[in-house]
Amino acid sequence: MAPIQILKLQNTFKPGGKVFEVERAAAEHSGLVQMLLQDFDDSDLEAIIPISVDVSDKGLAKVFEWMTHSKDLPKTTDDGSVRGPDDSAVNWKPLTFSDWDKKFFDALDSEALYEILIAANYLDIKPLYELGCQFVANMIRGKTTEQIREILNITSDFNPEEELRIREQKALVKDESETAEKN
Amino acid sequence: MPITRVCCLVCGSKIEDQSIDPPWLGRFRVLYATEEEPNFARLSGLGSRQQFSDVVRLDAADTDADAELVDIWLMRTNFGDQPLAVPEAVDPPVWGFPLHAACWSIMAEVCSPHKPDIQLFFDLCRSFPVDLGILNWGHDYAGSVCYLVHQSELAAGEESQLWNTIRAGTHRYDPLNIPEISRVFEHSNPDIVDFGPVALPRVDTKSGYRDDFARLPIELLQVILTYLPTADAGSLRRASRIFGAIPLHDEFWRSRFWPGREFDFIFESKQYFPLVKGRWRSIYFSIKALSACPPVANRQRIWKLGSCLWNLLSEAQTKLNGKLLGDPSGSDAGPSEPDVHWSTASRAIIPLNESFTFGARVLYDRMIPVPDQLAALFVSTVEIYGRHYVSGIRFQQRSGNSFSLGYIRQLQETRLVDYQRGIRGLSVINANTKRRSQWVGDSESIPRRRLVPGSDLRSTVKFLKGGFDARDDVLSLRDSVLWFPDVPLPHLKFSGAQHMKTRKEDLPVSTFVFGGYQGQDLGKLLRLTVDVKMDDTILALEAALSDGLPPIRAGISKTGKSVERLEFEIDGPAGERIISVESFWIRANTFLGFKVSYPQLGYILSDHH
Repeated sequence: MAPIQILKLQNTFKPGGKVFEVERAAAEHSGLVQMLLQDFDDSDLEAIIPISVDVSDKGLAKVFEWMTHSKDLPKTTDDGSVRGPDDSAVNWKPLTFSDWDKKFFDALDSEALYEILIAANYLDIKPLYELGCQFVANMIRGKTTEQIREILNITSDFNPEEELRIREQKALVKDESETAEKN
Repeated sequence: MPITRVCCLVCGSKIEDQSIDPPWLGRFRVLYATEEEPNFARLSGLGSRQQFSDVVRLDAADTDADAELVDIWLMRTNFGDQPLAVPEAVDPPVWGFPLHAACWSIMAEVCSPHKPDIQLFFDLCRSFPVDLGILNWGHDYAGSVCYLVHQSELAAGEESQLWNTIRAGTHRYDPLNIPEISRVFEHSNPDIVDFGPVALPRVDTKSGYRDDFARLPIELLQVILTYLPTADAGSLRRASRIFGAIPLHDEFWRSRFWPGREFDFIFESKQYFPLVKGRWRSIYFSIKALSACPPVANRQRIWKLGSCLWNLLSEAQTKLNGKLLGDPSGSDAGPSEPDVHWSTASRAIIPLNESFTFGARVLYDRMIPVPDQLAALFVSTVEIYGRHYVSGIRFQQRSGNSFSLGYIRQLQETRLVDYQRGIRGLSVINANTKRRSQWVGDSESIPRRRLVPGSDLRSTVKFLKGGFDARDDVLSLRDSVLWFPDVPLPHLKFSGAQHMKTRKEDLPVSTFVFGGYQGQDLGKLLRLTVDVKMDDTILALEAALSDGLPPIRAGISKTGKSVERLEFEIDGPAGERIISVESFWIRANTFLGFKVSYPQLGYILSDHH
């Protein structure tokens, strides 16, 4: 029997989750799915694979869209360099977004972006959560505190005591910031 | 002590003889080629500067004292017959571009894990002029050299030659071997930070606080912080109480040493990283405390210069499109240039047998016939030390087919113009790597000859040359000189300006119209102002107009004691009109002054010569 090429995945976090059909090559971006595939034989895989993560079906659909589009990408970086914070990140370089990735992330609202980050983390899709984190980092880069709050939809509710505590804690970072700005 | 001066192509500091202290200034290598194989570049072993000559070990691995030393010609600028050479003097058969051994090692770290392409590096060096032993990349080596004329005194299109090295204290410190840095890594203490489970603050939605980051797992929040420059991470922690509550992880501090980050030039971090886990925070602050010390500052300066060079080298690896016309250095003769009339847009191309101290030199020609049925023309540009240059052209036919010339970088492409009419041919001459170009063409199709702002007599390495149809047989002034900022309108005539065609410097000509193209605003002229420097050089001309119109100005805006402002009132509203302008010259290229006549009140305006 030919190996199963289409996997069925369902989010069981809340009842009534949609059953997604995902190509196996795409689903293998997920470390979690890879682990499950090792544990089951093909006859098990005809059944629905349950996953449980607090995101909507809409958010999951975006994740599967990215996986399907990127199914031919290497599942781990193959040039020996690791793109994220890892013990071997000696040759780290900033992640670059392909045109498709750029359009994909640009089109997301902040709710969808958070959901993708949560799902990518849960499903252990390293390239996707790295791209997502880099995308958030790019949004923040060069912005003031107030601009960041506006972009990320954060309201400030620090009371004076908290402000003081955070400022003390942050004296360190402020100091660094000044150095970095000078550089 | 050597009688000539040569400077390192990376850091710009002088390369000294071996007796110098500090010794690193006297230890150098050379990117070189030989007379027999001018297009085969290699890296030498260590060389030595002597009083009347320079010698080098040809093999890069040769560093021991016994290896054979060969005479070498450093920073060669002339490749033809040398009329002034002493008859019995023989030019060394080896020539090249020197760099300190320490700077080479830093370059290697900049490029890591890749290796710089020696041939490309050498060709890049050949494509830039050499002023007084300093390779002129178009920057001042981060303050290591000064210009003959300060950049602020240059008009558009002018460029200054490099003049002198600056003896800055920090530039003499060995940038490679810095014991203080090793000491930081070897003697760092474990960070006293609790990396145990972190409890994020609860977000009380009832209080009105909203922060969606509260939903994200802490690992992701840490990754986001790691991806941010330190200043931005600080801003984010001030903006979000969630981020504010996360202790900065070891990985965050280590990421400050990643490529492109604050301390990327502390490349020792790669060597030590497996050994110093859990100590990155204290290492970060120790290095920060060191960053003002002279050897570290010099390392950082040279690292930045090396990074710029590496960017340039990486760019130059793009495939060069088009049919090879032939290498003017003679060793790689390609097919001959077709017998057509070329109208060139190139400026200041220096022939191989002349001293290459400014302008540009052509290393490779490329040519393609321009396809018919053109739908669009795309131009690729490249940024070199803050200026943009054209690097390639792509023709797109209506069928969608593309034909490319030069270096095509689709991400940086600009759609230039849609062609309605044909062009006979277009050829790009380029100097293998970086490029700047003017576009020559019919200004009705391509309104400005200048394609890209900021390009000028820079050490260019690539030009476009346009071959056009028969209309170009007789070139008017408008078509044959450079204009800044715009090519003047077709109906303007330029009496008495024909000699400008033959000027060697080929500087751009500025026009400004203060009376309106039909003369309708001549009555609004109130004043002509001339800014003159102490040496009688005219810096700027300005026309002041009535009716609240802004003044029209051409030239350099500079004020100060050395600038004298001469004002000449003209009562345009009362009917005064300029009737003639005379200019005074010694030889065709030395301008003395000019005289403007306007008869009613009889004023004479002239430069104060």
